[in-house]
Amino acid sequence: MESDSLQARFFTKEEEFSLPEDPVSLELDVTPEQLSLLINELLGRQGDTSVDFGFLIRDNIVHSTLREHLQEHEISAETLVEIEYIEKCPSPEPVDSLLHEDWVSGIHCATVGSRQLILSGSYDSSVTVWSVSGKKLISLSGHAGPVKAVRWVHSDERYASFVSTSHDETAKLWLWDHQKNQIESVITCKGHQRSVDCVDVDLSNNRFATAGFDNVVKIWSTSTEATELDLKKDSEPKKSKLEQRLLTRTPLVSLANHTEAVTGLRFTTPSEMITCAMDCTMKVWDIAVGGFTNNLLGSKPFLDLSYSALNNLVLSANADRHVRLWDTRSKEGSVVKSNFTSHTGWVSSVCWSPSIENQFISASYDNILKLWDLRSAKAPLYDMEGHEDKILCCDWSLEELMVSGAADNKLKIFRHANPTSKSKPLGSS
Amino acid sequence: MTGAKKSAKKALQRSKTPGELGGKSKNTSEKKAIQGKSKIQKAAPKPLFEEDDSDASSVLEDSEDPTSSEDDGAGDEADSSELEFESDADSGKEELDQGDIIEDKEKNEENGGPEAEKPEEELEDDGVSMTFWRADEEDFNLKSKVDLKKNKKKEPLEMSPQDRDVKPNGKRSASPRPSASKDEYEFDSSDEEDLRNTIGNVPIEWYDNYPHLGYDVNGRRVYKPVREDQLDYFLKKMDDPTFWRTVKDRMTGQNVVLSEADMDLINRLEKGKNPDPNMESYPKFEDLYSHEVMIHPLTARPEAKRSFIPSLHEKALVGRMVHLIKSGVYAKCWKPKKEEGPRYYNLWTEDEDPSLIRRLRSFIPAPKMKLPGHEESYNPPEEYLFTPEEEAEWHNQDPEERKLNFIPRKYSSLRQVPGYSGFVQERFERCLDLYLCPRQRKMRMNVNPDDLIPELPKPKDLHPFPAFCSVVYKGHTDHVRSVSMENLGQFFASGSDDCSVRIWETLTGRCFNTIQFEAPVKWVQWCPNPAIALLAVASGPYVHFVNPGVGDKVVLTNTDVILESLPESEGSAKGSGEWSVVTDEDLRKQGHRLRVHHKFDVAQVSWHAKGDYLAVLYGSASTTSLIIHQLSLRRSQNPFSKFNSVISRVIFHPTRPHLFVATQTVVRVYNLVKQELQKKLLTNCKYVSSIAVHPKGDNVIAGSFEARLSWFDMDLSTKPYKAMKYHDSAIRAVTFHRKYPLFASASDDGTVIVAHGMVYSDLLQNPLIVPVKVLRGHRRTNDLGVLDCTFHPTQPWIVSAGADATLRLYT
Repeated sequence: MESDSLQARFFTKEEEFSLPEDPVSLELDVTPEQLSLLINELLGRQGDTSVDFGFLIRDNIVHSTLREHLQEHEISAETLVEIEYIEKCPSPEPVDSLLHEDWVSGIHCATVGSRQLILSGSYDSSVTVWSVSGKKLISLSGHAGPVKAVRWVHSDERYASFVSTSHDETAKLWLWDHQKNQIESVITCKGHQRSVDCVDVDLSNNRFATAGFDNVVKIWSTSTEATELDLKKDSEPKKSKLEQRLLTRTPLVSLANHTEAVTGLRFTTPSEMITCAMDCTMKVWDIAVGGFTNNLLGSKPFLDLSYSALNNLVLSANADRHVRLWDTRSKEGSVVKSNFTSHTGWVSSVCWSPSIENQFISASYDNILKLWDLRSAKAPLYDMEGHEDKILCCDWSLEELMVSGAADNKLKIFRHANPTSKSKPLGSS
Repeated sequence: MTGAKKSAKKALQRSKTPGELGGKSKNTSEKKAIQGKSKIQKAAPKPLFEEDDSDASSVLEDSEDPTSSEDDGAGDEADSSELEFESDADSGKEELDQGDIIEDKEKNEENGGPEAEKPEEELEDDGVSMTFWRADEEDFNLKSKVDLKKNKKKEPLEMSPQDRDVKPNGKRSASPRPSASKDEYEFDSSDEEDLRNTIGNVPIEWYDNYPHLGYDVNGRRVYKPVREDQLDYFLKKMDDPTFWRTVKDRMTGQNVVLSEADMDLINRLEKGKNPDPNMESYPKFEDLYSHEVMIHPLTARPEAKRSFIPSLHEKALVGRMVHLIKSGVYAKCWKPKKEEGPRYYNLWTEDEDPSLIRRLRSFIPAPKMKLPGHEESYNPPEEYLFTPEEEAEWHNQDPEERKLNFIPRKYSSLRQVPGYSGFVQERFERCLDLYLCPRQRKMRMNVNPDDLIPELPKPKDLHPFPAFCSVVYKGHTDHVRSVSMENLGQFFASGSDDCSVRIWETLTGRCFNTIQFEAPVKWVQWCPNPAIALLAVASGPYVHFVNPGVGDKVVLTNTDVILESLPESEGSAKGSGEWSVVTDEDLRKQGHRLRVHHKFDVAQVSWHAKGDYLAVLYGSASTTSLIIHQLSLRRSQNPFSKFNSVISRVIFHPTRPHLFVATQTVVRVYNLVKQELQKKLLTNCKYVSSIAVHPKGDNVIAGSFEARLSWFDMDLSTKPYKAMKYHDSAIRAVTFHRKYPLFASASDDGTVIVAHGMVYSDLLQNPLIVPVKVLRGHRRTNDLGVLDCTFHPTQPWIVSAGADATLRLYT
């Protein structure tokens, strides 16, 4: 006969909410909400001061009643169960929806100067800079094909630079005077033979890498000045100041080893980069050497990847319903640490939280953006609905902003109000 | 010298000196005879000894030798004859007895008693030969005397082991066994044997009332011996150890003590053994005709002369055969005899009739009677009782059809159960069943229907294959008729009845480009040549060559350059297409580059793997024509001057210069180099709708409007290796994957069925075909479901074009 109660001990890592560590007898049918109320009562918090708590048993977030959770994880109710309680992540609030002319395919946020700006690329070949409040600062249409990815590169008091890649087989490095809100120079990076689908800037902001359907990863200099790599068009007469600063750049390095389209690319350390491709492989490259040091075999074509410096883990979005967590350094066992399954369509994009090591978001073709916690593989923390078509990209570069771009021409901003979060300047993540 | 020769020599010596008796050599027949003579000579002058002996015997034992006195009376002749006989018979024994004596002497010496030596000495004193001769005659009497003399020194039976051996050579055995030597007959004949009584063969009882027993040779009476009284008889019985073996010879009336040898003989006869103890029952067999081949012939007879000279008869025979052979008659009738090898038979087989054995061994017990159930109970549960409807039905049924042959009834007690009227009948039928019904053991196989299905690998083991609809491509406004993938798979083109071709990005579902045409697009196919980006679009009577405007920029510009630089069309075959360059700027912007006009609406186009030749099928429903365009020369040619049947599909072989032409029922394979029909694949279908060739080129699938899919292994036969009918409705398109062992068929039932079709490079292994997934999603529109499908070139994905104006990507 199964008993209806269990002995539990609450503990927390946050001193603010600490309680005496005495065992408590709990009914098994209690839900996390009721537990939260209980903790609040024990803490003596009522009304406005009350806090929503989340509960973890052995590093798994409790979503259902304790009984179901214990059964699912095969934990005996006979023994003393230690329940950790943490301040629950508040639900993200939809902030704004920015309408584009066409599908939003690339997104990146950064703090430029004092402002938090959103950079978006669209299928109408334009790159747009938005303020968080939804104001379109500048829209650039230099590409001849749909923009697939965008990335802030660098910013200082006056200038900010960003890179965009496109179906027109080029990546463009833009130098933007954000004070005057005008483009100072555009450097067109030519070398790819197919659409360029992904881009990332290395940690020192000196180089960026692009890759796409020509299976080659190319690394370029982020210098906005003319370098020896740039081709000059001498024949053309000087037209305007801007035209003068139209430069064409060739890659520093080409890394070709993938056999199919490279779809994701992230720098992990100053000299290391991870790429993922449609050939179901994920490769860890040593940029200094110019070869790959690790080849991880997946089962499905990759669509995106994200790397977190906080826990050194890699998330991958595949052409199926799962988000996979990889530990590229693990030598034993499976490199795939866990699967996060809740989406019903392809996961098109994933992004780690910049500050919370357990959380990430994933965007999917099922029109839903999901906020996940590593400790809960079966169910996400929150579903962020609102998009009416496939979500193509997402970004969480700023702690409080989760943004997603979709095929419904909308860019949605969700605010993640993490009470413990502290703002960090751009480039430090 | 061998022992035998030695003895023979000695015997010869003895025959020269007949007096010598002390010789220790073994007895021979010659010697016996000689000894016999010597005995006679010696015996004749000394009858006294005999008398003495008989006296002694009479003194010692009253009735010991009754004949001795009579012998005296009988006269010399009789004596002599007897003596002769005796001497002859015991001739061998004498010697042995001598040896015996020597042995005895030795024994006596061993015993060392001087008294014991005395009788021996006496005997020796009396004369060795005579003593023994007499002893021979009286045989046992002497021994008994000796025994008595020696008294308790030795047991008489122990004393005469030699006697026992010798005895058969004595009186009795001498007569039945004529001696081997010739001389023996001179002195001894069986006629003379024991003729003391000559009454002949008359019953001796006749003489019971007479004092005599009979008559001797001379006619004198032979008197009965004195009858001993009961006291004597008793004393003898008590005293004489030989009493038990003393018998009375009725012919002579004398007591005869049977010797050990006699006893032995009697025992042997009783036991049914050979009377002669020396007779070897199982002598060692020496094979005269042994396997050893002797070098000398058995006979010394010389060979006959005729064995050396050729036979005249054979010569004639050979001559006749030669004649026959020459005349040819012999060859006709002569057949070489079949060489009969050794015949074998199974020694251990059972000779019995196998059917009999089978019947005996496989005894089939009588079927058991069904045990009574609840319904047979006198008080069955309610549910077993018939409702009125059931009862009515029971009555309506034939007795044969009834499940129960009675109606269950309920009684309150067993006492009230009436007699069962059908009992006797039932028993009778049961008996009939038992005794009349032939019983047969039926080998019924308990076959699970699932076991009959060939074991196929489970679909989950055959990953990867498309399973889920991942992307839906929306944009067309009418049936999407055709879909074709770009080489890399980043884009694909679809042609629709809304007169447009759309270029889609595979991953995102983005429509990149829309190209408008004047007529519904029937077919679109991407040029397989990776160096150019070109779409062949069949729309109306035209085949359009369209630059899709996606992909590598360099390739796009190259394509345009190549198309511009193409030579003007020249010398096309009569009745074939008219080439024209699109000059209209709007159309050029859309991508139109070239177009070829045909007489009728184009139904299908098919690129050659190199991307230069394009087979075009045009015509109406009843007449079709095939034409092959060469892009690089802008030339068209008509491979078939006349093609009788209606062509439904045409396709190039991926590697070889072959052309597959699917008519309504047959797929013809033409060799374009040799310009001949290479093969004819019989589909067993009435309307072939589509064909596809395996990338390796040896397997073809053909889908038909009767929803039948046929897989041909061209190495195996022209008939389908496998025919599958898993669609509910007409198959519209079939396709192979370029990389994975997959093929798919799109049908009007709105499904695409993906199957695993592994072709092994090992020619001995037949292709493995396993349907793995039914892909649903398309909605049926105007009775049309999925009109086309194509695999992604590198991923296990498939794009289907539906009549519901959408395309779907399944991954």
